Amino acid sequence: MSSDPSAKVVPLYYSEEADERLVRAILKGDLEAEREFALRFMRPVRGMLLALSHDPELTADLLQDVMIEAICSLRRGQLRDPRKLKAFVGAIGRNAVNRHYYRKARKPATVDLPEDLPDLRAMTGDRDQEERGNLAMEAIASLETVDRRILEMTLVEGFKPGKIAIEMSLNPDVVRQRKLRAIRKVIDFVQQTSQKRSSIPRVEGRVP
Amino acid sequence: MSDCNGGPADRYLEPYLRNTLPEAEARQFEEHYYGCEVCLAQLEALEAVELKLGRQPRKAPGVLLYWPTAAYAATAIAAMLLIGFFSWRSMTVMPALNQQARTQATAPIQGPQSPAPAAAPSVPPLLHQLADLNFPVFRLSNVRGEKVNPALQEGMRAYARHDCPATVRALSQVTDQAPEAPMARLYSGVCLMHEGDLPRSAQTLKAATVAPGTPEQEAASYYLAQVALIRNDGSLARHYLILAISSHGDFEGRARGQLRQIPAHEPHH
Repeated sequence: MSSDPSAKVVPLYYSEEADERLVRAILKGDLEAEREFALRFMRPVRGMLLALSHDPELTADLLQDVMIEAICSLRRGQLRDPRKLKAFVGAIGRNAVNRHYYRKARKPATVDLPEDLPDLRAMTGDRDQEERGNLAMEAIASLETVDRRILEMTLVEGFKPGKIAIEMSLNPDVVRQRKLRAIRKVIDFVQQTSQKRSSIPRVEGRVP
Repeated sequence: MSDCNGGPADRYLEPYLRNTLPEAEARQFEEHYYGCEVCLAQLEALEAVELKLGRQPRKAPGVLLYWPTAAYAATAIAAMLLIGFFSWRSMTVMPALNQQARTQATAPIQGPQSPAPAAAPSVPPLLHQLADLNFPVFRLSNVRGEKVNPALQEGMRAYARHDCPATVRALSQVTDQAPEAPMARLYSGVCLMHEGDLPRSAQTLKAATVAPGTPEQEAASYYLAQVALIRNDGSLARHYLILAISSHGDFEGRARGQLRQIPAHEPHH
């Protein structure tokens, strides 16, 4: 988590009504709403891009493209139903990954970018990511060798438990059990340690 | 706040990250974690673990105990063959540097990094020592809902195991007309380089450079430079490194680093 005390903590959970208000504010040219939009969507968009690409460099490249494209589209009023904001941003993210892999473009489709876009560089949460990476290393180190190998074969090599069981001469049920346990363990470790070390309490609640 | 207790993440997270979740469920899960702190935090945590696992050395001694003995032996043999091949190349390809290599090889304690004899005040590094033999990271493009070329899928699964012969065999089934051809040629070329078949590696990597401005073109240029370095051909390596740098992509930093280490006026062989 960020250790910058000036960092604005934005609640992640938004109702559809709150999304609607955000969309309408952006359409009216409210720059603060654009900033809020970027803060609200930066994390889930990064999570999705990374899940689709498994490539942190590509994710970093595409993240700002997606956010800028989304803001520009919202300014142009391209979202017909403001309550579908999450699906709208998700679709822009998926399209960006598709475009990359189909080589139609490596740059965002928008050519003439407006001058007054919010500065997204400060919002990318690089420090958060770095800390999560360090915690992930600790979490991996805390696993037994067998569990670590199972996790690696599952997440990195994409093997199913049956295949892992053959590779490691284990019972498939044992592999499934160990896999679930290892995943739960590393997630809990990263989350709990991250919360313990964070100097900023997470603010939760609906957007006013 | 969201009253989610993390149930969706428990259920969908792992198949979602492995891209085995059906399209509709994947979208549903995405829409959920776009508004759920609990599930998003779990996604971020597991992604961080996945990235770190992917960057860890694969062959920890404790892990190897669980591998079949045959795979262990095959890995050792492949490593010995590679070392043997590179030693042979350094002895035969570049006679001018050959003498230095022999001198170093015959010295019982001195390694390649050992200081040169007093008679040779400045010993340029053997170019093949600069070559980057790391396998480039690959994950199947994961564009959900799209059909993945089965030959590419099979090849890249073999690639994930660093099984070079199987990778080359499977990827050769990807036709030149297929949109995945540049990608297939790139990873085939890298594997052929690891197998020591440098002429075929160069030929295959060149075939991956046909689509300008693509990540494959950049990566292929970079690995063509590695092939040139293994052949101790500094001039050709410079050429390809400059090409890779001009793409301003993922390989730019590494290519610049190598370019700085290649002595100027390296003869072209």
